[in-house]
Amino acid sequence: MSLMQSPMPWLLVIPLAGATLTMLLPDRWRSAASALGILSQLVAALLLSYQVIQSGPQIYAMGNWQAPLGIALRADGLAMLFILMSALVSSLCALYAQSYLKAEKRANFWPLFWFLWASLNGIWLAADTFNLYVGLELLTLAAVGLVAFAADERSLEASIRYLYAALLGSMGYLLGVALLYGAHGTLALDSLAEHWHWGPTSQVAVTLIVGGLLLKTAVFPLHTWLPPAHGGALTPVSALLSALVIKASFYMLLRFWIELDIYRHLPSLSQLLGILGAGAIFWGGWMALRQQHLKWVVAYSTVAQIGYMLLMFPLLTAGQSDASQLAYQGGILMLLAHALAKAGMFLAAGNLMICTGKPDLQALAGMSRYRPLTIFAFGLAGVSLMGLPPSGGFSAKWLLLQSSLLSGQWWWVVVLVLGSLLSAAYIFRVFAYTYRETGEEGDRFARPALSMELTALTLSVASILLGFAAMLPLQLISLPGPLMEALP
Amino acid sequence: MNEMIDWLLLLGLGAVAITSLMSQSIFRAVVFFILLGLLLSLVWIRLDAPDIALAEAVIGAGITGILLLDTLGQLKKTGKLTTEPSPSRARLGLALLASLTLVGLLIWAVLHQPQPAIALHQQVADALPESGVDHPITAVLLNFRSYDTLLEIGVLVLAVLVGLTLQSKDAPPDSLPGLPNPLLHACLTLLIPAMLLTAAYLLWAGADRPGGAFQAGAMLAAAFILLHLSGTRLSPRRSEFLMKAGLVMGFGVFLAVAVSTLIGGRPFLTYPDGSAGMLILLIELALTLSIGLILLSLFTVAHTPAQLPGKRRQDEQ
Repeated sequence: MSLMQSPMPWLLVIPLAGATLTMLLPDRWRSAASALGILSQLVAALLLSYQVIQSGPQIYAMGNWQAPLGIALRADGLAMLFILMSALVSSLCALYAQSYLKAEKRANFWPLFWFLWASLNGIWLAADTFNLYVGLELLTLAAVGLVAFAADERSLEASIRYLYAALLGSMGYLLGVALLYGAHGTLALDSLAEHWHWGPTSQVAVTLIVGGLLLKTAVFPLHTWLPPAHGGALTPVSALLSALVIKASFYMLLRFWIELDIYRHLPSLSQLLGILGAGAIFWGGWMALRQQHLKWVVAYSTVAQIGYMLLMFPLLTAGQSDASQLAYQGGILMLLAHALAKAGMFLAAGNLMICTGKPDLQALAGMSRYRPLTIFAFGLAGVSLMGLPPSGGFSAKWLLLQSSLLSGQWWWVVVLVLGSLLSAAYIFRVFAYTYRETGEEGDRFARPALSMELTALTLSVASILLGFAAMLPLQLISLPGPLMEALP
Repeated sequence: MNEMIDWLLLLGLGAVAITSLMSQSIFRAVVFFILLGLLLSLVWIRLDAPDIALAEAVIGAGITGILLLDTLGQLKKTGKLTTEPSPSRARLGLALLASLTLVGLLIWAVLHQPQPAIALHQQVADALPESGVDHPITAVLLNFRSYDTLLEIGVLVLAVLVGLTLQSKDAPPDSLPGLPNPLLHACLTLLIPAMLLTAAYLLWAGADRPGGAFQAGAMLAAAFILLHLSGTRLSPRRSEFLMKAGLVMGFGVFLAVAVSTLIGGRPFLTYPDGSAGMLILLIELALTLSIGLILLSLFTVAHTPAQLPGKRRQDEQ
């Protein structure tokens, strides 16, 4: 059967069918269909990873038309890691949403959720620049819809702002792709790399593409749309957005950067990305320290964490193979650790807000005694975000640190260390509020469902375990493939 | 002569765009925006891209224009229309500088464009006999790159889904009265059949010349909206489910055809030999209807009162 031949199309068919069905099915069937869909997604993802590990990167020609005439899907180690990551985070967020959302909200949540997952998988597997654009559009619209469906005035405003920023980013990307097509006659990444012509047209195209993707990733100083959108959305949505959605444009940037040899041609742009990353780390951390709204602290922490991922770019330098390898591994590990820790942290923050009924930090007083499990989940995620050992965040920062020493760019070490101190400051500030005593009114807290506490804890524990099992994802992303060959 | 037309179009585009942007009255801006869409479609014709010209005229100028005018009407009715103070000199200068830089960069990039290494249009021409249709654009959209089109239809469904999600809960009931104008109804009886016929023609023509599901669907939507504006309701009064089914039908049929090829052991979206033409027609038929309904829904979603979720649950039990 074809499912056995390749599970690749099923990673798209299942979520797309899930979106269609959850739109049409009556209420009580929606959740059942979604549960079934999530399970089959996990099976398909595991099957495909097994294939990739056993027999190397897989190419799948859609409609049996070979690229560049048709569109090919490509699953290499990096794509697999992202597929597994989004499968884990999405299913836990879906479990959380099932308890968190009221029935009438769920009716609209499921189709949007499935479209979001379909577009993520589409982007991880895409090997065609225009197909990536279509995936981005689908992703943007699903994400904007999810932000907007909190349906209060502020979230509507945030989602419109998000929509404008994201559309502007998409437009930049599309212009760049059009220029690349005009100059090379192909849209497929592989054949673009093969016939790569570095002239004025490509330079302008690359500038537009990088600019558009930076805006969509919310890189400082283009981050202003992120805090209201991520901070104002409903909790499971915030987790999905921070953990997965912004990673999609980052992933595309990374693929372009390495596979099209941009790092070789534009070393100054690499340094610029690093400087933007440093700016993001300090500005995001500083702003997180000054927020009074719990979820806004977490949202600004995302701005800062994007900065660490960007530090990978100046360290990917031609001629320094070892340092570049370390930077690549460190950057990806950083991204993975952030996805797990930030999803866990947002869910834990959501639980705390359910307890207190208020979004403010002030209201958290007494929480550490009342909800130790949730505080523990928040704290574990915090450990990974700060980069304390042993956690995924620590291993990632360690690799980036080694890489910057090895390539002689010591100034990034300073950024890493100072940034970590800043993260510690804003996370301990939240803790300080939870340890305050409330006096006699400590019993008016609401109680979140156990499944909601457990999903938050699972994600946070995973971000810590990543520190012990960092070899597994690193081996996966180092499997041979076009990306590894293009790496310096 | 042709060169003169091109220059005129170019100047016209610039003038209309600037007028639309600088206009103090929003209504004027919208009208000039619609004019811009029409001029753009002429530009596409001059560029030998009649498919895009059709889409631009119907969607860019037509549907978008109606949506903008309708939004403006809504804002005026609810009194939420506020006139923004005109932007400061500095902001205006910055915007001007940014757009001029972009234009300069793009011109520079296009002037230095090298000869592409791969001649994709040649590959399309070579593979055309196997595609099941004779028009290269339809072949690309529904066969060679059908995966992109599938996802694009997903984007359309998603757009209307977001619209339905946002449907304002406290909107006043749809109060647009049917206009009791005999002349209007006489016009409609002439216009609607002609529009439906045009839609059907566009759909059928897509096999070997410019046309296809998008253009036909947009034409269908125009007919629906005309009916809606003159008082005939296609809105989901009776059955919300039926409307939703209509909205996702095109996407569903497309996906079902794509998956059914997997069962025969062929890769995703590979039409079996010989039946490509039939399957493409089937997909396009479903798409036309769904696109028509989707565009109509995007238009009506602001008007229709939301069904109370509590009531719906009672119905099911």
